[in-house]
Amino acid sequence: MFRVPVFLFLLSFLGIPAPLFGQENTLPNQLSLEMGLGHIARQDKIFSPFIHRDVSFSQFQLRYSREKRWFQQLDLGYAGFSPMLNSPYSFTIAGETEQAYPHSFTFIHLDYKIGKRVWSNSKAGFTTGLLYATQLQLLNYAYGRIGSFGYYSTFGLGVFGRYTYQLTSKSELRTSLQLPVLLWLSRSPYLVNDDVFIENISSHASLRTMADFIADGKLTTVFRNQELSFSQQYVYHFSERWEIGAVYTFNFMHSPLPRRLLSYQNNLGVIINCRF
Amino acid sequence: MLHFIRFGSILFLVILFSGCTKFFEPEPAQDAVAVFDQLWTTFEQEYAPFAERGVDWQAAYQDYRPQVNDLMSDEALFNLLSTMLARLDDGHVTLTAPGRPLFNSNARRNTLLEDELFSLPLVRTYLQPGFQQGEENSYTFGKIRNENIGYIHFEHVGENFYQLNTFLNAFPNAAAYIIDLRHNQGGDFTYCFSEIGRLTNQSRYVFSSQTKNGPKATDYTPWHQWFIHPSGEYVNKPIVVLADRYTISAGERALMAFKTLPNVTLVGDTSSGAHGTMIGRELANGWFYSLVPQKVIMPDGKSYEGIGIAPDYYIKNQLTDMQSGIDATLDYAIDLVN
Repeated sequence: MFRVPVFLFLLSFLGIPAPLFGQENTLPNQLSLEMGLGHIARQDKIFSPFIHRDVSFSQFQLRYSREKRWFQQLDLGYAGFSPMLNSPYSFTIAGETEQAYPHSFTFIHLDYKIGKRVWSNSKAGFTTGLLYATQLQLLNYAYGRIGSFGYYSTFGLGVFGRYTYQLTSKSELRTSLQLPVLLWLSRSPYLVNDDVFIENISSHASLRTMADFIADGKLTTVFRNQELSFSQQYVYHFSERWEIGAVYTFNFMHSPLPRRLLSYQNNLGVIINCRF
Repeated sequence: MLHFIRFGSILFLVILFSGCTKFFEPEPAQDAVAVFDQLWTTFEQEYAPFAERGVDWQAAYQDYRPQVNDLMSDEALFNLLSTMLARLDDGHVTLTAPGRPLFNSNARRNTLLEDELFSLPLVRTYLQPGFQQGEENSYTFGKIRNENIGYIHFEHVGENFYQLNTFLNAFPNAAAYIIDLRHNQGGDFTYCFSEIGRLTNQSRYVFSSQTKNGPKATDYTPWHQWFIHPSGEYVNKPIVVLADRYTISAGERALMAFKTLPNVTLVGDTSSGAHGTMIGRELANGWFYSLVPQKVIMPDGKSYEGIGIAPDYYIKNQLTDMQSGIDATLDYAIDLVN
């Protein structure tokens, strides 16, 4: 289902003629902080047949980028969601009142991009290159008195594209799209807990357990496992050093095995950039 | 022009992906019939020990499905689902709904039958002053009054099992140890397996398990063998392990591990017989339920799911004794090691 658009997307980057234009910024480094509102719709059939939706203000992203001869960017992002089918409610066990809480999702990503500006004119520019993307998603599903831990993790190599367009002398649009092509994927087993999962948690050390989960992963490609991230920014230059703006981000995930996962995440936030 | 086309393509992709909830698989509906069907089907595809428990799940469908209709109240639906799940008599199978007592498929646990036949306050009267207690009674250990016997109780299986080593160090000259798993609520059995190393001088095979990995009745992972391994300074003394009908889940797997030790004697009552791993699930109306996707067999090749681990010496407390300050099971254990 996803092969055709993905293939077109890849072609759109690979087929670009490559007249290389270097960009000369007086302040080539940029540190950015993004925060705002996020919405998720996620259906992970390992844990539930339902679509879990939530809106959350727990969305943060820290970004460092440098644009001289090469464009480089490092992103560290965090998102937290607490979806629940119904409102929290109480029930009793042996006469004692207990509370049913929402699920809890914690997403962390770390991306590194390196590329070159391959096209530009007086107002616009297009940069493309290689992407290294890491996703770590920790999932705590709460089913009343029972909780289940789940995980989703990928280490991916892929491509990215970044398009900038100067609206006025003080404002700019920046669009970027990234897609890992080759991924090392680790996910919870078919029914949440199996013996390999239990063996992995038996070290009782969080980092070692996570490393064991990751080691049990497998290599996959974009044709089976898709993680697409799109970002649209509007920035206003206050000064040579400072920019402020609005950002919209869309993250898409699809992973068919061991059970189908489909996730759409839309974030809307503000961004503060400092050039130096 | 080129960049407009590219920009438009990107926007098209975004709209395509973000707007199309049709890519999600259909969710189960919220009416009573759909809720029944979802629960029944999930058990059909994900519950492992039907055969071990002698339950014909198709027959359950034939019996209960005709009773479901979309006009029935939440209470009627809850009662009907509970009655169907009661056929499994499985302490790991539960149903949770707002404002109601949690339903447990195991009749004993659901009605708290003979729950009062174990009392930690009574046990403490057997201990010398200065005994140790964990938060929320997670562990209790000390020396039996007027005896050279170390005693430890574990309320569940988790980080409290780190206290096993502390306990052994606290009473290095004890003639024997009593490890009490009565009313152990389970948890994560790997804590027991990682902490039991001082009580064995060789690796010992404890049990095998396999987990469902597909919807068909034959879809299972390969059997996985679980062992305990020696670790730390070996302690070779007589050990009595106590269990009762409320020893469940990881508590029973701990029991299985202790049972492999040649110097261990099991005393008390048969355990609950619910020791596969447990997972949670949710229904469209916000209710939760739990089930068991795993089979477990012991070194004799048999499953004790639905049966429980039998003691070497059967002793059952009596309420009248307890009211007189007597824990007959503990007394028997003390006599045994003496």
